[in-house]
Amino acid sequence: MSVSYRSILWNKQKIRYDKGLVLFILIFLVAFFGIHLVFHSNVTIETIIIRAFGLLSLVLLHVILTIGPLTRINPRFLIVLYNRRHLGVTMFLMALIHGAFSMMNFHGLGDINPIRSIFLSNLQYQSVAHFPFQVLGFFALLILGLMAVTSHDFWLKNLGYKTWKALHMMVYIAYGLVILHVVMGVIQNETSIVLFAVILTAFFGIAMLHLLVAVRETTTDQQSKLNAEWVLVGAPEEIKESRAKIVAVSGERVAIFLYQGMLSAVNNVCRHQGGPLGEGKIIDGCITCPWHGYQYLPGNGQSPPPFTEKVETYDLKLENGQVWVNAQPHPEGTAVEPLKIS
Amino acid sequence: MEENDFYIGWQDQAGKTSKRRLLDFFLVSILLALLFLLLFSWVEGPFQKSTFEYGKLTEFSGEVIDYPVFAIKTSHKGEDRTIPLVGFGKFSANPVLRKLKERTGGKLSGFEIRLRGTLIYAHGQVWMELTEGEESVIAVAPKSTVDTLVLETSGSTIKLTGEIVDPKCFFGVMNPAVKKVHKSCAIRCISGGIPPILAIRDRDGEFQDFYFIRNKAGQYINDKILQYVGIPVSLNGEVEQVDGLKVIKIDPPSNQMVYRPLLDQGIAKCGT
Repeated sequence: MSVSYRSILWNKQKIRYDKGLVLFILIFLVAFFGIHLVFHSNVTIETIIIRAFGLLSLVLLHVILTIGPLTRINPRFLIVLYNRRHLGVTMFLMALIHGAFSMMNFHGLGDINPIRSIFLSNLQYQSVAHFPFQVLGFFALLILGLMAVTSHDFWLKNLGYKTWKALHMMVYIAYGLVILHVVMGVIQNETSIVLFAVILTAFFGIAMLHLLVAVRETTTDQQSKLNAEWVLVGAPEEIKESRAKIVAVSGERVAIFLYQGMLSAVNNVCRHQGGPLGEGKIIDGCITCPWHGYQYLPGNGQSPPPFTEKVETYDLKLENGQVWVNAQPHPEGTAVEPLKIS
Repeated sequence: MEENDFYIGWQDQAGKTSKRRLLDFFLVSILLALLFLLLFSWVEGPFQKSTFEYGKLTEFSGEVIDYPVFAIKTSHKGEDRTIPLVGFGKFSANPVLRKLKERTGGKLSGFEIRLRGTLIYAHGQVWMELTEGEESVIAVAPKSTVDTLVLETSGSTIKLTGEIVDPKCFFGVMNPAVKKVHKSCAIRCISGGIPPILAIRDRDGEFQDFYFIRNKAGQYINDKILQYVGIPVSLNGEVEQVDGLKVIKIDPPSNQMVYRPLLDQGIAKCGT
């Protein structure tokens, strides 16, 4: 969080992360160029560039899509989630190089505009075997481009969290288009079934990870179907100091934090990017989101001044050694007396 | 997760456990990426040997012909050759041919032409891009002797199966320049006037025979065959050979839609 505006808030850890990303790209590209120059010396440099950057962006997209579910399954991966934005923009730039070179090579210097050529050269849209796969890549690149240019808190603030989130959920549409682009393009072109098997495995791997998380979270949310006025949280001992327990209440997830012998309940969704506050920690007296470090006071759900983010708060009660949360939330930022348990 | 190892994005330093986790994730990711790269490199290809002498201009002198293709009959590396000519980008060299005919009064035989361009070669074939357009014609001079074309015709209809390619990319400007990944590019080249060729593989899968595609009257039919480019096709037609350059003369399909359902069955039948 920062009061004064800076387009990118650099810090040592972020620089370390980005250095790692650059190293990843360099290792991949050097290996790709090296292998091709030695073992496929007949191939043209344009083909190497197109394939290297296409493959690299495909790999990076898979890495990006594993991070979200991995952090939901195991919070130890949260360190990888932070700065995923740079990873996404970098992946788009790699895909852009792939797309630009492909367009220049296959569609440039011809009798019609290269963009029109993508759509009008191969017209066999009705055929699976001969479908113009480059069209799929074009639309995927458009979506990824839209996401890349809005990957900044400026857009998050101006578009609003829900619109921004909906826009960035389009990564799954882009992913589907990319998979089809690859399967109907280079894989259909090659005679080996091995590549097809690898892509299929990667696709199902990503799908299974997301499915696993969905099942886990659906189980957590089962309680929300109960229409009781008060919902059981459990014994206070179940919650570690400065940490929270998440329960589902009337269709919402609520995070109940324990700190200094007191309990406070707030809505689980961070107003920044929808991060799970209940997986965060109380630091310096503030609930701290594990995703990007946005902070809220546990007693009123407000970000400490001068920040303005607010979340809903909930009443708690203690009965027979068990903590209960009221299903009715207070408006965002409403002060609620913490429940003293000792 | 260690209690004291809760990393917040804006902090300068992450804890040891978090750093270790990030490093592990990086190492596993790069390892998987390299494995994928190795696998991809192992199964892709093979790539044919071909050359495009980009940036290097070569000069030839000889007589120019315009059938079955705009070409120059010359000597290359001590061997008599008929080198077909194409234009810059995805275009034919027809504008150069028209300009040349203006200078020679419409005749091509009986003139010694000096041309400059960029060589393209593969599969034992040599082609040349007239990179500088009309400036590629360096000299035009009458000559005393007139070359005669050797024409052989089969006289009967035969069926040839192969892939329709654009020869400029196929013989070296791009590699690979066949099948689906190159289909759109080949369509643009052929649409731009580059003469389409039926490339035929031998039993080992190597391309070994090449036929220019014309209609029965010997005219270009580029626009009629665009959707058959880059896929296996069977062409029925008469075969002729002009100075070693092979031609298949077919009846182009008048309505390509009729043939489209056949495409998904692997072989498109054109000119049947």
